[in-house]
Amino acid sequence: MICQEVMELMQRYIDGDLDQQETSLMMDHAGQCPDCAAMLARLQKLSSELEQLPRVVPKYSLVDAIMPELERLHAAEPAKGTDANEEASEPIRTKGRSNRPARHLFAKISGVVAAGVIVGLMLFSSPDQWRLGGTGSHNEAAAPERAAAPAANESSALMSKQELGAAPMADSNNQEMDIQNQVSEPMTFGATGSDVAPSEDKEKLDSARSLGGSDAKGLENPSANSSDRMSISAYNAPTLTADSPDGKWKAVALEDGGSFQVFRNQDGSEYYKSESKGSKISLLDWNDESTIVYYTLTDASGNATQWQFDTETSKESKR
Amino acid sequence: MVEPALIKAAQAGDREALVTLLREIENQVYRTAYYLLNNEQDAMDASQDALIRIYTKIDSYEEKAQFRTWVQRIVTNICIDKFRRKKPSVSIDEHEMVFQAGDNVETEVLSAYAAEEIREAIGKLPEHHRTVVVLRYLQDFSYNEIADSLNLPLNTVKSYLFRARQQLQILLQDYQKGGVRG
Repeated sequence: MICQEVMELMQRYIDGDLDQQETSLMMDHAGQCPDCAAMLARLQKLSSELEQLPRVVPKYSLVDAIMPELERLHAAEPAKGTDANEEASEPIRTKGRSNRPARHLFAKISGVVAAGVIVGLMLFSSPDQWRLGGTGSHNEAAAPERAAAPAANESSALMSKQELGAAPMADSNNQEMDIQNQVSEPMTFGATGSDVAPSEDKEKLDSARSLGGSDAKGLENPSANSSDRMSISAYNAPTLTADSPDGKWKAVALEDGGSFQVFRNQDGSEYYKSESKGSKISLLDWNDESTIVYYTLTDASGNATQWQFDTETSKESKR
Repeated sequence: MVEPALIKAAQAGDREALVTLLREIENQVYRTAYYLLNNEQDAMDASQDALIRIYTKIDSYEEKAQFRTWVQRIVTNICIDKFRRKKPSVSIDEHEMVFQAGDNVETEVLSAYAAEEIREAIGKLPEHHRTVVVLRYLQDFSYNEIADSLNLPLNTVKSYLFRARQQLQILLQDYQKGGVRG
């Protein structure tokens, strides 16, 4: 056996590719040939050093860095065929209604404001929960803008109302177009809002009432129809929804109405409706087992208390 | 390892699943690019290109291939394009590959090469040899996985890898001699 042949055996030996017979053949030769023994030692050393090369990582997240590019690609691309899935898991949604405006707004806002929130949600959401998770994070992502821009606030409120209230109301195509326009151009809505405000407001109140039930007393307050933009914003903005991780439940809260409802996603039927709390309600979130929904009540003086509702016992309790 | 369900969801048009998937693979993509290009900034650029390509081409991934070999094929292609445009690779003549026994082999064997030296030596390999070494050692790929990634016959992969190791061993030996003896 010549050294050149042994070289190949040694190379394969390093990669764990030799059978027992080949191994002993190689070892026998190396035992007699100091040159090959030395070569084998060097190759083994080299190989272990190569294995120990540092597992370098990028100094910042590459995905974060390309997010704007991905958004651009996404916007340029026609919607892909997940609508069927989404409708299956989301029976309240009217068939044929496009998801895209909502998703775009969500994408734009979240890309800028809350990439971290998305990551968190992605980690804890199963794939078919995506759209639902998105709705949740939209609310959170929109919150800072709400404070900064009342006009944008109204359109995001419209959007969540559109999602929640539109199906039972069977609104016309025209209305849908209006809503979509406003959603896609949140910053201009404030300027045109005064024209459409009266009819829109009434509609919002109707849909909000249908969600919050008669407990949503604040919505019947005449000041909701006044020209005070801040008060209108306050009523319109915070409709919070949270779907349970297993997809069975949807919790819906009217922040200022201080009440919440729990629906069965299977048929959209109401499972539970809380009393009005007379406080702000926020942070609707489910436990991993989809049995308990958590929420926070904040009273007029700003004191927050943590509560939970157990779907198994239908009881609300302080945490 | 990336969950098959996540890949399926991403292929079905679930954009958030796709982004999650990209986050899971960004480090392995970067690692290959870094060791192929031997330069942090070039590696960042190439990895981002690769991730964008994966984002747009996810539909073309077929289950019969391993996902990670598919990913590595994309990133190595981008890197090879990049360094072809940048500089001609320095090839070591075949005859230098012939087995050489050093006179004081033992002392050389015993001293460790710094990772930096090894990285530089890898950078001196011809592109295919370099790629094979990187997939073998930085991605822990088998011969077959390397062959799948690079679309090369198995025997070619072996011969590249073996020659690459011989070259590296010589380069590092020379390096050390140079360092020790001036």
